Amino acid sequence: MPNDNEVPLFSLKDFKLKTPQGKLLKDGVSFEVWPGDVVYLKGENGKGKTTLAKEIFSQLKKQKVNVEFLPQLSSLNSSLPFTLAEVVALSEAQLKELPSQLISLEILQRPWNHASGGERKKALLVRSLLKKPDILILDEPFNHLDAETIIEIQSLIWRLVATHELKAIVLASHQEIGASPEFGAINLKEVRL
Amino acid sequence: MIQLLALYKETYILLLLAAVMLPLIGLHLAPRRESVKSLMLTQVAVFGVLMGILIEHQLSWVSGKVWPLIIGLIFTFTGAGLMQNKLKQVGESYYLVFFIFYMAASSWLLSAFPGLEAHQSQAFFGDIVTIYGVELWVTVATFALSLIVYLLNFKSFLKESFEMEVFGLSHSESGHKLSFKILTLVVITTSIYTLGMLFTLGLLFIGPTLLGPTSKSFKSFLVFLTFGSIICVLGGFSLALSFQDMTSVPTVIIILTLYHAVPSFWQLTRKWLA
Repeated sequence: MPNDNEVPLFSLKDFKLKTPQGKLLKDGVSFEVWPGDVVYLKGENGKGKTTLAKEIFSQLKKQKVNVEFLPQLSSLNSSLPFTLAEVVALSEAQLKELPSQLISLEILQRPWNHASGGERKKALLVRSLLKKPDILILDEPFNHLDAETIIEIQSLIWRLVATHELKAIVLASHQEIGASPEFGAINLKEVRL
Repeated sequence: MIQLLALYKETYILLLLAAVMLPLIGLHLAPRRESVKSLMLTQVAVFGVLMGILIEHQLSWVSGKVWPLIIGLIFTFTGAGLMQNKLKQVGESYYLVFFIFYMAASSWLLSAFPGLEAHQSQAFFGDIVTIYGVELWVTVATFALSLIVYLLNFKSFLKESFEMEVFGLSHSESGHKLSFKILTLVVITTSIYTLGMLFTLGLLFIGPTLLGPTSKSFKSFLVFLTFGSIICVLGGFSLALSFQDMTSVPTVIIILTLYHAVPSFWQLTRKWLA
């Protein structure tokens, strides 16, 4: 538990969640993000998870917090024939610091359009992590993945927080997720929308 | 032949720059969902260029060959601006409506001013052999400057295009730089003004569309696209110079299509044999 003199990484109090068109989705959204937290924005499609994730990202950016946002994939294929390595290299960060435990160099040579959903997600995750953010915001990271890959990606995410590579993660998903006992150091916080 | 090549050396410089610049712009249009919009804007540019020629012909106090380019730029920038502000949420078919409208408007302009007919043929199908003087050098300077701006922003343009496609981000969400939009409009309009619609559309779309699916990496795609376009454009023009009855732009476009279709044809043959 945090001490009295500590401040959260981010807090939202009685926030009115509205669509970009101004329609009220939920009133009084309140939560805090502390180091070691995985904040799980939970809800069905259309409940405003993406809107809230973008709002958190925008507020953190304004507060000059080192944050990365990984949006959900809207199209699996690209007209640009990138390999996964070339997608990672689009990041401004140094490729030398590639976290090899997340993805192997062999997999990175695969074309984006021929890679599996899990491989694409890992490459995008690596691309975000290369910028060494304190907080990572993930929007629907488990879409287009099979059950086995969802568990694998979840473990990767939990490990990032448990090993303090990331201070916290905000994760928006309509799918059920659960904390893994092997990563006891993380605190899974559910925010239902 | 050598004498002909020497005579057209400035034209070769122009074609070299066009062969590099247009496909480099074109490869971003599909991921940014701007292919149909670009088609419409080429028609707007044709109309603008014809209006510029008309103004130059009709008004005695207006002179200079760059007027069609200036009017063309005014039309394309206004057209793109109106599309951006008014048609944010509509489907691509709306761009086709405007394409048809401007095509009809161009045709109407010709019926009202028959003197424009030769210029219309130039604006649609181009004629590389007849490009010279101010027209040629203005285009060379524009393409050269555009290429410098493009190369300076190469990585950020690519990142934006990729993110706009796979994350479905809008222009503003992707941090879309205004410079790419300005660059595209300037390059397309200048190309229409000098090289015509067929050449411009062919170079923008044929290479990126046909080579993309058969390339193993972006690096190889870029190498084949750039060098292929240069060889086809310069080779096609040289061929047209060698045979007097051969028209220049259609020759270039046919060679360009055949060259870029080879990898797809090869892949299909291998699949069929296997």
